[in-house]
Parts: sequence; structure tokens; C-alpha cells
Amino acid sequence: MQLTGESMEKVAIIGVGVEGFRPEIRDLSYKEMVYQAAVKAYSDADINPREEVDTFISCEEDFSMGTSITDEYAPDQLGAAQRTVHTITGDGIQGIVAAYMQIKTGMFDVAVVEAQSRSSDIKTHNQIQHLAFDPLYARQFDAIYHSAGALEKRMYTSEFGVSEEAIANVVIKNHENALRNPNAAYGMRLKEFDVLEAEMVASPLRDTEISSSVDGSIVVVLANEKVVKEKDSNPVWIKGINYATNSPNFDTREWKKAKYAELSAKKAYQMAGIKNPHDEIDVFEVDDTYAFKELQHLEGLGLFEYGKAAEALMNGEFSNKGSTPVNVSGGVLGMGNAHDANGLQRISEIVEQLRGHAGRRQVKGAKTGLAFSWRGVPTTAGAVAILSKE
Amino acid sequence: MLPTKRNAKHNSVREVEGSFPIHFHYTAGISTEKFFLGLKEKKILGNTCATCNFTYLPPKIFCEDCFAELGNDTYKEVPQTGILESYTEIYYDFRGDKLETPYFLALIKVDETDTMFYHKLIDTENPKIGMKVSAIWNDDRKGSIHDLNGFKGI
Repeated sequence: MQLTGESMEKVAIIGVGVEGFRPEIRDLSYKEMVYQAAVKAYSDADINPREEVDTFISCEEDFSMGTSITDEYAPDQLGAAQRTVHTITGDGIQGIVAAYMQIKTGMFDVAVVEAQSRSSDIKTHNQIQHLAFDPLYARQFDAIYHSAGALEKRMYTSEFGVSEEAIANVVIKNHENALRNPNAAYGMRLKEFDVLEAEMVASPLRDTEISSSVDGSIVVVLANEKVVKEKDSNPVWIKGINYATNSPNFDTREWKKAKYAELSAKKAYQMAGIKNPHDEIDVFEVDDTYAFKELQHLEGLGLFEYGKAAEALMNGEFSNKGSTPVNVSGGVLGMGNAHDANGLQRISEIVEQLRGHAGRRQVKGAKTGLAFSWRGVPTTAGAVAILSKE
Repeated sequence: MLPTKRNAKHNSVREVEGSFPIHFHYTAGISTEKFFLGLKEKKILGNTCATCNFTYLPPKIFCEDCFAELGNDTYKEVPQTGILESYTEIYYDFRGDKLETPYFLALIKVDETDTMFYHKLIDTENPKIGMKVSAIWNDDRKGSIHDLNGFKGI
């Protein structure tokens, strides 16, 4: 079965609110932090959440929030008390997919998606990530969870001949881009030396190649065409959207390629009618939780053959003035790792770019953009959204 | 980057301490129990989906590809040698504490299997992808993944 969406009405993002991102938000509780983002999103969308939103979707995980059945605490800060709410244990783009589908049913005109990170509340972040490993096998070796990223990096770089210098340049580019993004936590100027001389966490993965956690929240408002017209909104249309998981098991999963990117992108391109993503999409926000992932994900998304993204990066093609701007927001490395909110970070940047609101990092004439998220190790789950002004 | 440990004592009015004490006994299941019992006898057991001509290690009761059930007759002992496909030297434990003695974890394609086997790489000075490795057993075997000490380059 294919999602074409041809027979039904279009769905647009009509509002985005961001609170953060900062390494630690200690002055606001998680509810207060989400409330701040929600107010901004509703103001942007010109929507009263108590009257005009039909369905609310919250993306969060119990362990990360420190409360079991944590979704029970999601509604009020979104203006969703006594309303239709459901929670997704996953990335924000998976929430956008749910909102898209709910509007497409015709049952709902306006949907809201929320995701947040309260990483600084977690005193044992490494253990929570460790608990994501299979308890019978992988968890038995008591290694830092980045071990899975390290094994994958070595497989990817050795199979496709990707240099450490190229990976260092992903780190340099994204931290530098973050200097132009007021929502980014980790703007800085680095040299290759700074990246490559950093200590190994799990070889060949260095400390500097691993994104640092942040606190923050994003709320996104989506609506059908009828509401877009009534509200005279500044819409960004969803043209294609999909998500996919490769096998999660260490024994059977793909280690060299980003199979989940290939699978999800293929269907999203089909839905959006895109044949050549490299030429037809103007701006890209793709997961770079680990620096090598930016290159591997671009290849999985079909922009380059495996092993070839590094060359394009080194030629400057990924800068905001290059032919294929990638993570001009700073990406996960520059904005900070917001875990389940990473997908909405990518979405919020594409919306700003397509609306022409991206300030000093604006990609001139951007009409179509792609957001891609990955749920991080040990998952092989990714989600893609293709957005357009047209 | 690794989360920084907060040294400063935070204002107690700003935060309330809490934790979850959560404990489990995870059920091994048919295939993993067979696999662990095999390890106790110094045997590495995989199983094969005849339809897909694909051998799983560790074994499974179903084929991920064709979804057929893999019965008792599909299990077999696989060789105790394989090829090193990837490795990582671990400098931090699962808590994020720096290890005094780093160790290696690896992905190994055990001969006559089609999957990646995750285990330790031990006593191997210059690991290289593609090198041949051999299983090293623990003398004190209890039916666990640690009945194997790891794999060693040969």
C-alpha cells in the first residue's frame, strides 16, 4: 500500500515554537519549558489551543523523563487538558507523521506535535542509554553506549574509505554554523587539530565527534488547507513523509550503510514526486548525532553514492552558500543533542529557511527542504520529511 | 561529548532528588537458552533457515527474512573461528566512568554463519579488519555469554 495523499487535502506546518536549546535549563520545570515553546507556536500559528486544536501528540520516553506513564503529564502545558492527546515513544518526526495522518483522515483540522529534552535532569544519562541495549547480549559487556556508534563508524569508514579529516570537518562546519543560530547551544570555531586530538571515548569515536546533550522543547502546529486559508497562515507544506526501521539486533542489522535512511527516503521521495533529491531539494537538515552520521545519512538519502559525501563536504558544497546546504542550523552537533526532540529541531530549521526567516544563515531562494532524524544507538530507526513553500 | 558531572551543589529548592529502583529477570527464551547451554559445553550453536540459506548466530526461533519458524532440527554447532569485521577500544564503562584498563569489543563473522557476533576481542595486539580470530573459553562456565572470554586474533 502506498501513501500518495493525492485524493485528500494538503497538510501544512503553520506554527513553530522553540524554547532553548541550552546545555542546562535549570530555572524552568519541564512543564514550564514546554509551555514557553507552546505559546510561541500558537502565536506563530494564530491558534487558540483551548478552542482550535483538535489533536495533540507528545513525543517522549518514560526513562528520559524520569516518570513512568509520563505521557499522562503531557497535556496541560500544551493547552490540552481534557482534550484528544496521544503520546509517541519516539522521535518528533514520527509525531509529525502521526499528525499528518490524523489530519488526512478528515477527522481533525488542526494538530499539535511536541517533543522535549530534559537531559540535565538526568543524573545517570549513560545508564539510561545503556538500558536501551539488548539485555541478554549487548548489555552484558558494560561498555559505554557509544561503543555501538564506534563499531559502526569503523565499519562505515573502512568500507567506503572515508577519512578522519572529512569527519572532523563535519564537526567544524556544524559548530561554526551554530554561531549563526540563536537556538543553538554549541556554537564555536574549531580547527581540525581540536577535533582530531580529542580523547577517544570508544575508538575510533572521539569525544568531539559525539554530540552533547541539551535541554529544550519544540512545539509544531499543523493544519489542513481550509485552516491555512481561513487563518491567512504562512504555511510550509508537507510534500513527503515516512519512517523506517532496519533490524535493531546487532547480529542482523546493517552496519555499513544507513538502511533506514534509504528505506524511508525512497517512500518519501515517491510521495513528493522527487526523482533527483540532490537537484530538487534546496536545503538539508540531517541527523549528525555522531559526525560520521551526517555523511552516511546523506548517502543513505540518495544524494551521493556511499563514500562520496566526504568529497562534496571538503569542496564546501554543504555550507549555507554551497550547492547542497547541510545542517546550516548547526545540526545536532551545533544545536545540541535533544534526543527525542532532534527531529523537530531539523523541522524547525527547514520551516525557518523556507519562510525566509533564517537570518544570517538563510539559504537564498530555498523552496524545498528535507529533514531527517535518527533515534540514536542502538536503534536503526529514521524518519524523513520533505517540506515545501509551494 | 560525555555528559559533564556536576560538581557544584545545586540549590535544594530548585530540584528534588529521585530515582527509579527497577529490577528484572529477563527471560532467555527457547533459542537463547539452547545457545547458553551450548556455551556451557564449549559449543557455539547457531541455526539455519533452509529456505533462505541463512545461518543465525545467536540462534532464533524464527527467520527475520521469511518469518518461518525455525524448529529444533535447525540448530547446529558452528566453527569456533571467524573473521574480525569491526572493533572498538572501550575507554569508559556504561556509567561514563573512565576505565583503568580499556578493552576491546568486536563484531565477528563466525565461519559458516551470516550474522555479526558481538563479543570481546582479547589478547590481540594489532587488530585489523579481516583478520582471522578464534574463540577463547572461560574455564568456569555457567551457561552465559561470558562462558566465552572472547575472540583472539590468530
